[in-house]
Amino acid sequence: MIAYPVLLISMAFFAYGNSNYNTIDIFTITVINNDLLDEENPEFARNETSIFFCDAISSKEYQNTLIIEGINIHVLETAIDLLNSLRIDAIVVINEYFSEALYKSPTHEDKLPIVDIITKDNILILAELSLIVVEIVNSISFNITGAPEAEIQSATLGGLYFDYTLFDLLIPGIIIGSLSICMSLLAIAIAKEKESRRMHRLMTTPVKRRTIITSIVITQIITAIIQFFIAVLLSQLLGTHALANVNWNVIFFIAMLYNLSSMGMGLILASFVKSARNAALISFIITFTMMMIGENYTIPGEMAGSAFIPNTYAVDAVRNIMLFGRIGWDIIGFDIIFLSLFGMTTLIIGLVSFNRKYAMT
Amino acid sequence: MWKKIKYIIETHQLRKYFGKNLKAVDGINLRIPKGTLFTLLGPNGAGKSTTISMLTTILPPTSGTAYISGFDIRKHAKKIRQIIGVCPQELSIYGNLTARENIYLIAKMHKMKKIDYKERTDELLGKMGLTDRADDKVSKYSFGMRRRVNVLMAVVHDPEIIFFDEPSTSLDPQSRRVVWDFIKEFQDKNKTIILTTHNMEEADILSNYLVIIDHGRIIANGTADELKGTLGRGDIITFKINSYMHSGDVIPRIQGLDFIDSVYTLDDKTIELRAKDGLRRISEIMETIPTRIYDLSVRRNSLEDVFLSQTGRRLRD
Ligand SMILES: Nc1ncnc2c1ncn2[C@@H]1O[C@H](COP(=O)(O)OP(=O)(O)OP(=O)(O)O)[C@@H](O)[C@H]1O
Ligand SMILES: [Mg+2]
Repeated sequence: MIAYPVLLISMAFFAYGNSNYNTIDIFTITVINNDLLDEENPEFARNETSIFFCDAISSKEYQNTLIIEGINIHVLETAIDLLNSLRIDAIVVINEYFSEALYKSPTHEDKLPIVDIITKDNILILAELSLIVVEIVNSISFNITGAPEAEIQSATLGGLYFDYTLFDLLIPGIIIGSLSICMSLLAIAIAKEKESRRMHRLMTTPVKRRTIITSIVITQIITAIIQFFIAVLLSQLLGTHALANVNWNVIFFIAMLYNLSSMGMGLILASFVKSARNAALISFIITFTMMMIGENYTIPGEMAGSAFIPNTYAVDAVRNIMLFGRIGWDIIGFDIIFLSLFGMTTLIIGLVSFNRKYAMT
Repeated sequence: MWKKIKYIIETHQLRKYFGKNLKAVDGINLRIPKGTLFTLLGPNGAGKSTTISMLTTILPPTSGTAYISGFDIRKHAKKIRQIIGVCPQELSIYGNLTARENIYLIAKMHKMKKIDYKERTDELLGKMGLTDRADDKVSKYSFGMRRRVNVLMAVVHDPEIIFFDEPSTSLDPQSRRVVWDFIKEFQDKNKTIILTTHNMEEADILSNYLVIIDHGRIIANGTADELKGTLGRGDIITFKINSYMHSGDVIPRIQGLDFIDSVYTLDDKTIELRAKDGLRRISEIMETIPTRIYDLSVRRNSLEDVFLSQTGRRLRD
């Protein structure tokens, strides 16, 4: 069971390693470089790294994602006006100790290379920009021995604030992803019973079919709960910076709502596959497709069909709760409604098709 | 209301079609009195397991009726499940449980009391020679041991009617004997047993009554002796003749002997004949054949021959 979250994480990195974030949106940013020359310590090549940063962010590599509306042509106040009037989507501010912190200048030893990202209210742009900035800063600090990791401070003007690594953004997807595996587990478990004819043996005893299928499903729900805790534990061990006062109860609730769909789809699948092998194969394809379309591991954008996939809503809800502490009905209410309806529907279809398969009472 | 049941199992024109063309079971009529060891003998794909699946309430029939102990399999499946024990053809056991746990599982599903099933399980394990290994995981068992567990799981709740679907398939002769002895014991206790097999020796030794099934139909029925009797008594002698002769040239000569029941060819070079006291008078037969013979074998009339005479095929091929 431990293997699944690990598998998912490696899958996630694989997915990232090979894509340019798959975004369709292009957004406009302005960069403010506060990394000024230090008159007291002219021997430090300040500016150099921040200029490198500016070059990188306006390079070809990001031209499909970013339009740079000037570097150092606005002061913060005018930039915020631009942001408010929707002329730009984000402001990137390079902190004044950026270069020195990277070179660990003795006079600023305790300083961190900080980049601020500010958007109006769009946390998704914030998240995506964070990833890009982290990538650039890391590529710079990689070339400097002993350089500390960059610190990204991101905020919307509305006050939402976060401070993430790539890993943090993946956690909600990993938690939900580890539960979508339960669909496979259920389908495989039932297919195995069928294939080995143990299901038939059980069904020649006076125990009701309903009882048999319920006990198999309950076993998988318990597995799902364990999976959930493993994924959460793993994310903590690997060091997520999710909010300290995350409401885990609600996350657990969302995860279990999502699990209803997993169980339902597992039952539907089990009612027509002939062997455990097929169950494994088909459910893996379904799970993988759902994770991709449901954007478990990518920044939510306009992946076609994502609106019909429970993953989309579960991950969205968990992200909102875990990363932004947003828990209101207006934020995750629709997610909960969708997950409940989808879960109930698939579960009912699953049970009906299972009963039809074993039609005799 | 209680009514006297003449036959503990009774079917009328029982059919199961898979799709339009595959007639797995094609109109089977059975009347089995209580206490019978009843065998369904037939080659692979004859429809034996499908028949068992219908009688054990797993598979709904396409048409026809079947009553187990007076209960309709369609309407009173639950009642039937309380009085039957089923040993499926496949190994339907849990590899990660021990033999004991596997058996307990079925006992619990039949709502047996713990003191009852504990004692009974020990007794059953002893009979199958599994006591020493009873607490090992079944996945560590040999194939033969697993089959024995498979059999035990069918009988722990002491059912009135027991279905054994090829219980001894691919067992070595020794394990097969153990299983046969085990089954016989239930016969002695006046349980009704339905056995399927394509092993004619097994059918011959165990059955009180048997039907031969082929392509979903009963092609012969009776006791083993009755069935063998339909072919005439005596020994069966098979041999091949030398390459330049044809069996057609040889047969008329053999037919001339007065103690020969019948003689026929299996292929161009192979001749089979039936003769009373054939073994003792084999030299007389050989004298009539003007060529060298080889691959000579002599055996008793068997159910295999019944099948052969009914279908022109062998049971296993
Ligand atoms: N679930 C099924 N779906 C489709 N066809 C089936 C199914 N079960 C059995 N059959 C077909 O029905 C026929 C009879 O099968 P059955 O298993 O009853 O034979 P059998 O006499 O038990 O043979 P064996 O000695 O090999 O066990 C076969 O042709 C088989 O392919
Ligand atoms: Mg069979």
